[in-house]
Amino acid sequence: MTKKTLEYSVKLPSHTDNLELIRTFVAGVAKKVGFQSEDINKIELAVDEACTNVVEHAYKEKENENIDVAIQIDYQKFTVVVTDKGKRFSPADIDIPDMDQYLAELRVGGLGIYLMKTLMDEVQYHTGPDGKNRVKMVKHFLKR
Amino acid sequence: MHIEQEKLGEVLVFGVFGRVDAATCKPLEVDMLGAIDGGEHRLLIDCSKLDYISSAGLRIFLIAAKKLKAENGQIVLCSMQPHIRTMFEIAGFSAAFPIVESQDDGIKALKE
Repeated sequence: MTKKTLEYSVKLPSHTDNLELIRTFVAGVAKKVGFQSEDINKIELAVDEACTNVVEHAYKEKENENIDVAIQIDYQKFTVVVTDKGKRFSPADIDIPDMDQYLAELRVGGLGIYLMKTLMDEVQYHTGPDGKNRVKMVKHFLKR
Repeated sequence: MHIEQEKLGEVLVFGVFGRVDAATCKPLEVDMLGAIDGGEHRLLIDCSKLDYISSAGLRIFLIAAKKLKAENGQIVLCSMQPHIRTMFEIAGFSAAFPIVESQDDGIKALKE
């Protein structure tokens, strides 16, 4: 028997003005599939951070590019994949291993990635042979 | 997002309204860091009308805290809505800034 997977996706111009639309889309789907507000807020913020990184770093503010935001839902998890065709990103370069130390030093970079990893159950970066960068973020239903 | 500023004695209160993300954060950065450069060393951020904040906004608070530390000043956040407070706690940011319940508590904290 094949388990049913639901898919929702949007494609938008890579501009920070579209972040609110992206949050509304992702939060709407998360709510529809039954997440409570705390998890919806986490998913919304993590996806905002991923898309902000695409606009500001992958595309370096070039506005004529696109961001794809795709959501896949199966019986156990909610997966958001943000895809771009911009500059490749290596998250290890700006890892924040220890938040207390980070704050004590009052550093200011790498917050977005840190938040994504803190808010979601899994975060993976992958650049495919097609040159597209994909950030996959997963929230499990079982951990609600 | 919009900001309202009010001077209460030595404390400059920043009321932050609405949603702060990468698209809307610039005025907050300009106004807050400008105030510090202009000699304001006791900042109270009233978050009662703050509905959403991403790292674009958190980064500004961290830069402000860093600048104020160098000037022997302080930044305090007050009156957060519960969902914003929860996010600060999950992310560990409540360790970076004193977060108090009300504007009065914030002013007291900044006088100490």
